[in-house]
Amino acid sequence: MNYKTVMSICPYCGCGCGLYLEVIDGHLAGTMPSCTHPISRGSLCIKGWSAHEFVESPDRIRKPLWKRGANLEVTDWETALYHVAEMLKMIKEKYGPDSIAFLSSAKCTNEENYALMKFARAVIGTNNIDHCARLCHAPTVAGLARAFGSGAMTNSIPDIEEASCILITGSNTTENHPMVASRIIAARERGAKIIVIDPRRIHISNYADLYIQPRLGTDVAWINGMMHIILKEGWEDRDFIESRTENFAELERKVMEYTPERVKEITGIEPGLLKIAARTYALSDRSAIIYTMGITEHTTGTDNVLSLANLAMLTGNVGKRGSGINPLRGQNNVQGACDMGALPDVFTGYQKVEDLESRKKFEKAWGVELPQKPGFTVVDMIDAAARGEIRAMYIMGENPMLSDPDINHVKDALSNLDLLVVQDIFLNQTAELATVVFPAQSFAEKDGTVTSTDRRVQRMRKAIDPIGESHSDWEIISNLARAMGSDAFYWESAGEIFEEITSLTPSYSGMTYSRLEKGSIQWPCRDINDPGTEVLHGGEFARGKGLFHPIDWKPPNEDIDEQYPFYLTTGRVHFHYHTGTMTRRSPTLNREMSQASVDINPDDATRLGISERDLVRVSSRRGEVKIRARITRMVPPGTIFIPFNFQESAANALTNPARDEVSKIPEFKVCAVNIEKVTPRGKG
Amino acid sequence: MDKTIKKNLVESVRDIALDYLSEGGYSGVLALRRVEDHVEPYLFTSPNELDSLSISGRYPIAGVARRLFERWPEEKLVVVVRGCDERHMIELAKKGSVDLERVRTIGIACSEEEARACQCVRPYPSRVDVGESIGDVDYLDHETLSYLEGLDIWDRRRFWTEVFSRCIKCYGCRNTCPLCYCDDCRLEESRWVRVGEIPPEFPSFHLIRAFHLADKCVGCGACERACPMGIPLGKLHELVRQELKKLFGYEAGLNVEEKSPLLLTLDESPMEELEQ
Amino acid sequence: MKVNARNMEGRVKEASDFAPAIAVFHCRWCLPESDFVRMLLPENSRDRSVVVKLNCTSRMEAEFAIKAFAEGYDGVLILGCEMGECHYRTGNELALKRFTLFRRILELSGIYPERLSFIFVSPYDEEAIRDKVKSFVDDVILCGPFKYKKKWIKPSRKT
Repeated sequence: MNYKTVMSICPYCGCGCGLYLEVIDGHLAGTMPSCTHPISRGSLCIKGWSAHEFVESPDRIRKPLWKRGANLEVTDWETALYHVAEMLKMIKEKYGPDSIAFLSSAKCTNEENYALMKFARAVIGTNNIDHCARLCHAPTVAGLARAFGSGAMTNSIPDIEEASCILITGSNTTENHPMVASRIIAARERGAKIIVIDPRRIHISNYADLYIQPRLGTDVAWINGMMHIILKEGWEDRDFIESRTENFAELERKVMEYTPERVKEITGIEPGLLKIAARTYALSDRSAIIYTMGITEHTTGTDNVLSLANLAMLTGNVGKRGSGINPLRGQNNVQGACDMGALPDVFTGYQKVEDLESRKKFEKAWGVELPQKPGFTVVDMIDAAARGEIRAMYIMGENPMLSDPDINHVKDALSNLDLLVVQDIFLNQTAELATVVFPAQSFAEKDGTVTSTDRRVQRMRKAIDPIGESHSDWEIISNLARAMGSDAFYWESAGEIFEEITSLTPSYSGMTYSRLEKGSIQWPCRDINDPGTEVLHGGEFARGKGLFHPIDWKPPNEDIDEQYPFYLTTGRVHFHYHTGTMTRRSPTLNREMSQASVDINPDDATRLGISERDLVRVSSRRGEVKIRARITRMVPPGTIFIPFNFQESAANALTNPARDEVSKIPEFKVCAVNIEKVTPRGKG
Repeated sequence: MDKTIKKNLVESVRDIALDYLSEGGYSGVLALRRVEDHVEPYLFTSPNELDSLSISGRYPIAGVARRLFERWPEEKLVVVVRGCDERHMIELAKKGSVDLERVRTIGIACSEEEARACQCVRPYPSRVDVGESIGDVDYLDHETLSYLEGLDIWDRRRFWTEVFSRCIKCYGCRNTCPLCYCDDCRLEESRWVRVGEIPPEFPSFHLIRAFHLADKCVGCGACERACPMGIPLGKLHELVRQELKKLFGYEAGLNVEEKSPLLLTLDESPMEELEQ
Repeated sequence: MKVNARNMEGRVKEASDFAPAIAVFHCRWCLPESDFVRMLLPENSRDRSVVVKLNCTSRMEAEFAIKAFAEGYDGVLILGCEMGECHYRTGNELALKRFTLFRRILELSGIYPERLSFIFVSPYDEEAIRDKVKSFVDDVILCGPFKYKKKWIKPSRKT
C-alpha cells in the first residue's frame, strides 16, 4: 500500500491554485485542494478537481513520431533528434536563421520557456519566438509597460477582497477565474460595490450593484466618458495626479470631447448609469479594475488597456491594496512565459533585444553572438509561413490550428512548411500536420516553476513517473541543442536552469528553489532577503511617473452589413480549457459539456425561426461552421456568441485576423457573420 | 494554542504511531505530514518518517481511508482521527465500505479554539488518546440558524435562491465529503440535473445532495469550507440534521449498530410527528 | 395552512384561472390504471399533468419530486396503499418516512410543503380518493404557479 500526496499547481487557468495530487501506487488517483495555499484556500473549481484525469489517458503520445509518406510513424529518440537537427542546420544554412520560427508554451514551466528561448536565439540565431500571450494579453504587456513601466497585474488576488469597489469589464470571472470570483463575492459580503460592464449578461452580472451593457468594441468611448464625468464633477484625485503622473493636460483635453451624449451615441449607455458608475468608482476608498479578453482582444486592444490605466491613475487607484489594474492572465504560466522572454523583442525580464547593454549581458552569459532585430509575432509568423518566408517551425505545447484566427489560413500556412516539429502530450490538430512529433511530459511528471497571474512564482512538483518514453520539454531541447553542436545546454535538473534564469533576470534574482519550497514569491524579488512584492507601484511607478495617454475611439475592423448582419463574439466556457486538448480527454469535464452551442438572443431566434438545439450554419468572410443553437438572453439582440474550444465547430474558422497595430493581437471579439437554419432532410 | 502544549500533543501522537508501526501487521499510519510550508495527507510506513507527522490542518482523512480500503480490502490501517473523522468512519462502516475491525484509531481531542473555528458540538472521538476532551459544547452559529428558521417561506426562498445561484458546479462539496462517494452519483446524471449550466438549476443540485446526505451527514463542515463561493452549505445540512433529530431521534455517526431511520420500518424507529 | 397574501407567484386573477400541472406517482397495486388516476384530477389539469406508475411508493425518490419542480410542475402527488396493505409489507412505511423528511427539507429551502402530498388510498372507496385529490389540488392552487425565477433577486445585505 503506497499513498502520498504531492503539492503542485493546477495546470489550467492563471489563478495558480495549489492542489495536492493523490498518488496511489504510482498512479494518479485524484486531487485535493490545499487549505493553507493563499489562492485556493481549500477550494478548487471543477477543472482543478479533474486536473489528474487526462494525465494517464491512453491517447498520450508515448514515443517520438516521424511522418514518412502520409502518416506519422513511431520511431526512436536518436533518429528523431538527429533528423530534426540535420534539417534545422540545412534550412538555417540555405535560407538564413530568420527562416525558422518558434512557438513556445504558456503551459510549460519557466525553465522550459527559457530553454526554448535560449535555443532559438543562441543556437539558431533568430528572434522569431512568440507564444499564445500574443492572442490574449499582449496589449496588457505593451499598454501597461507604456503607462506604468511594468506590464503585469498591479495587485494580488488575495487583496481583491479588501476593495470597496470592483469594476469588472470584459471578464467572465466566475466561469474563467473562479478563485478571483470567490474573492469578489467575499468582498461583496463585506459591503463592496460591484460594477459589471460587459456586452454579454454574464453570470457575475447577477451580483453587480450596477450592470451596464455597452455595444461591442466601444470600450475607449465609455472609459473616456467616465473620465469626462469624473473631471466635470471634480471627483479626481488631484494630489495623485500632480505628484505621480505626467501628461495630464493632454488627457484632459481629449477626454472633454467625450460628452455623455456622444458616449451614448457610440456605446448605447444611458448618461445616468455612466454617472453612477463613475461616482462609485471614483469616490470609493479603494477601487479595483478587473479585466481580461473583452478589453484586449480587439484591434484597439492596446488603446483599451491604456484607457483603463488612465482611469485608474485619474482616481489615484494604483499602488495601494485592494485597488489597481488587474488583468487576469489566462494560462497557468503565461505570465512566466512572458517573463522568460519567449517574445520576439525581449529577453528575460523584458530586457529588450535591441538594447546593446542587455544583448551584451546575454551574449556574455551564453557565449555566442545574438541577433538584434526583433522577430515575427504569432499571426505574422503564420502569414510569413504562407508566403514561404518561414520554412521551418518548432511548436511546443501550442495548438494554433484551433486557437489562431482564420484557421483555414493557418492550415495552408503550416502545410507549406518544409519542417514542422511539434512537442506536445497529445496529438492535437496541429500535431497531426507535423513532420516530427516529440512526446512531452505533463505537469504531473516533471519539476519546475510557474508564474501565475499575480506574479506569483510557485513550484510544480513531479508526482508520477513519465508516461512511455516522454521527456520533459527542457530535456528535449537540450538534447537537440547538443545534437546541433551547442555547448551551453548541459543542465542536469530544472533547478540549474532556474539558477541561470535568476542570474540574468533582475526581478527574479532573489529567488531560489529552497526559498520557493517555503512558499510562493511574487516578483519583483531583487535579493535573497526580499520577501517579494504584493502590490506594485507603491511609492513610485516602475517608470517613475505614470504616463497618461489621450486615446480616441476607433470602431472595430469589420462592421455588419447586409450580407453578414450579425455580430459574432467569441470566448471561453467554464468546463473546458482553451483548445480542449486536455479537458476533452477528462471524463468529468466532457460529461458536463461535450459539444459547442451558439448563443442566440430569443428575439433573433424567433425572427429566424430557430428553436433550441436546432442545427444552424454560421458563416463569415473567412469560413463557415455548423453548430447547435442555444436560446438565451445572455447575448443582446444582433449579437451571437460561440466558444472557441471545440474543434468540430471551431469559432476561429470565422474570426477576423485583423490586428492591433502595436501589440499585434487579432480581433477575436468582433466580426460579422450570417446565421441560417440548416433545414433537416426528413425527420429532424 | 500554546506552542508547547501543541508540541506535546504531536509528540504523543508520534509515540503512539511508532508503537503501532513497530508492532507490525499494519500497512501504515494515515495522518498529516508537514513539508516546509504546508501540511499534506500521507501514509507513514516507516518509523523514520514519523518526525514530519503533524496534527494541524483539517483534511478529509476518512475519505482517503475509504479509498485505500477500496483498493486493498485485506490490509489493516492506523488512522489519526479527530471527533468528526471518527464519526465519518463509523458512517462508512455502516455502509460496509470500511471494516472497523481492520482500523485502529489514534484519537485526538480538539481544543476549544479548534471547536469554535469548526462550529462543532462534539469535538472529541469516542476514545481520546491524545489531548484533553472539553466535552459536549455548543459552538454552532445559532445567530444564522435562528435567522434562517425565523424567515418566512418567501424570504427563505429568496435567500436560498440567491446563495445557490452563486454555485459554479465545482463539485467541491461532494468531492470533499467523505460520505459522498457513489460511483454513479445522481448529481452527475443529466436526467436529474441539467449539465453544462452555471449556476446549476435550483432546486435540483443542492436539494438532491441535502436529501441524500440527510441521514449520513455528521456536521463536519468540510463542504462549506470547500465551497469557493461562500455558500452556507453547512447551515442547510445542520438544519436537516436537526429535522432528523426531531422527527426520528437519530444522529449520524455515533453508533455503528444504529441504522438509519430511512431504512427502517415504522415500528423500529417511531416518528414524532406525522404531517399530512 | 400557512399561506398569505404574497402567495401568488404568478399573476393569477382568480383561482379558477389557474390549472396547476401535477406530477402524480401512484402505486400499481392500489391503483392499477394510470388513466383512472388521470381522471381523478380536475379537467383542466389533466392535459398538463404527468402520471407515473411505480411498483411501490418506496420506489419514490427525492430526485423525482425535485425534477418535477425543476421542470415546472406545480405540485407532486404520491398515491399509495394504506398502512398494512402494502404488497411488499413495509414499502409504504419507508416511503412515508422519506416523504415526511423531504417535505421539511422543501420547507427549509423556501418551497411550500403543501405542494407535495402523500395520500393513502383504499382501492374500494373512489369517493374518498376523489375528495382527497381535490383537496390537494385546491391547496396547490392556493400556493400559485411554481416559478423558479431565473433572474436572481437582489437580497438586502445582511450587515
